[in-house]
Amino acid sequence: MHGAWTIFWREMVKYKRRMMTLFVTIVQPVLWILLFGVALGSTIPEKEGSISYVNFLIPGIIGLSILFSSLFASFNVLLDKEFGLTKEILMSPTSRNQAMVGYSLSGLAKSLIQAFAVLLLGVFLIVSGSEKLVLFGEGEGFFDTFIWFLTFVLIIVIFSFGFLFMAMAIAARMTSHGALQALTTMLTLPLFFASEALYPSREFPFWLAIIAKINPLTYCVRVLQISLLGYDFRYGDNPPFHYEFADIVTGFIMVGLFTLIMFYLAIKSFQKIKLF
Amino acid sequence: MISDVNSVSISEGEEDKEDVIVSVEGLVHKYGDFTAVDGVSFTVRRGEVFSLLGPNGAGKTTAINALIGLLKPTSGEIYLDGINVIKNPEKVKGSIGIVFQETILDREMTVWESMEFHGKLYKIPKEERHEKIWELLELVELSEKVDEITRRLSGGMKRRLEIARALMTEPTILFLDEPTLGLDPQGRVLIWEQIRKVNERGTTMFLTTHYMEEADRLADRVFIMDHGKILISGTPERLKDKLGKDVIFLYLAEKERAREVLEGFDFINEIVEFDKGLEIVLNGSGVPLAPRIMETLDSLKPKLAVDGVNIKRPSLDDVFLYFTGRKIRETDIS
Repeated sequence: MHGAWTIFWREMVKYKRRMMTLFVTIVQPVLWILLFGVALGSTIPEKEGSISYVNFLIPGIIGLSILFSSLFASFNVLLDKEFGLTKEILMSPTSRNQAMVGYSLSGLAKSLIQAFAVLLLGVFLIVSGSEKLVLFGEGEGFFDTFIWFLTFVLIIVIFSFGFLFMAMAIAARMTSHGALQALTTMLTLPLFFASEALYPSREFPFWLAIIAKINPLTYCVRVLQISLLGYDFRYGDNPPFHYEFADIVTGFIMVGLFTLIMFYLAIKSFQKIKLF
Repeated sequence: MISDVNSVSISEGEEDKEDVIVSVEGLVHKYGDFTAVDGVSFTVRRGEVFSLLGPNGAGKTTAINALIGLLKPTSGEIYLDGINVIKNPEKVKGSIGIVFQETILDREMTVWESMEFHGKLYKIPKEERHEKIWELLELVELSEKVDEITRRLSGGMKRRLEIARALMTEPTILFLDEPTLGLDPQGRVLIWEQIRKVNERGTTMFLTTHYMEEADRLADRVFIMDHGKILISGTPERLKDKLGKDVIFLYLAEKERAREVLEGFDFINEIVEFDKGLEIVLNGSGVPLAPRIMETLDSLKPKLAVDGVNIKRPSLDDVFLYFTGRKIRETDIS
């Protein structure tokens, strides 16, 4: 793992230097919560026993941030290919698999930083609006909160790796920035909208429901919602959500399966990187 | 043009097997229908500065890539420090250093970080690594730039950093692919100094270049390559001696009269006219022969006025021209 940690170290050195990048990547989810959450939230009447729309939106926007930041890790790899840094890395005793894992680990660190930044901001918004905050199965005791927190982190890690591996597989095969940009946008929008990040999926027409069913983001957001908001929650006068332990298990299985497939593809693609 | 000089080696006796660090036998590489390297054989001796000289597209980079195990050649054998490179490309990684033709530096990292990253990639323990970084940055005169972002370094500094970086692993042989490409004259001279210094520390240097002057100044032995083949090899001096002809440029107005007089001398091989006078190709050194020519012209009646004289020793440029039939393709250089 030495080689992977070296790549990780390098990415982090640059990440620290570019605090601007961190700022920019956090701005996007912030805008979603501030603009979309507050604007749409204002049209949703408050109801006794309901959480605010912004509170509901937090898990969804965390899912969105991770999806984006993970897929965008592909640009770092493409840049390294362009500037020949992959040559330096792959001529060294560091293997291709290690390099791939190193890039992904650094991507994961960035995803986690973003996820917690969004969480903090959401909490701040809700608390400062003196609304009721529901977080990590609130009111069930320290141990339960801790378990929910672990669940929250674990699903982020697995889900983020899934899309990081996908980004690695794509970047290893791509040569053009324009094409990579187009492909990334083409992937993120449908994944985002055909999920439960912004609204429930129960009223989706058949074709959209199918996409939502096979969409890893749907499952990730579901586990995030359960870990943050509990098995039962509702916002506004929408019908209540009700989940069970089985939903968490299904969520982990679906996201885990996706991540395994992407891991395989990433490994295969990295073997194919041409060095000149 | 003499045709039987193709692939001449001006050898200096049998190679001592102990002293050979790289041996290449019948190297061929094809990209589809195009043959980039066409049956090349040579040996590199331990401790020397070996230079592959040729125009762009001659096949030098392809040859280097095969030598360092980045590219599997179509056929041929390559041994580096006793390792069969084609069979075990992974094994040579430890004993070689490479400075690629294009600059390979992370534009957002500092000089120190670039070195640190390389050392970590090669698993050099921390203390040893840091010691080496300082020592090598000192060597290439970059120790005052440790915290500079590489993007802000000049072209020459970037090259020197790359050389220092390649030396981190203490390679037995350092490959430099066109190390001074695109540098200004001062930058170039500095790189030459570094290359010599590194060589004096005992590292064998494998250098490709299309700059005649570079090969002439640095190399112990030059191999001239064109169209995938090695045309001739030897020390720069021996190569120039092989041509053996000094040229005297006489600047004068009365070209015809001078030509008639000079055609009689047996030490003159050829007389060629150019716009300002005559180019006289000798079959010996110009130093004793030029005064004789001058005396002859001076003693003519009426006197033949000479505006200027210039003696030119053959350069590697001439060697190249002689063996390939053309000038090195300067226009190809990007």
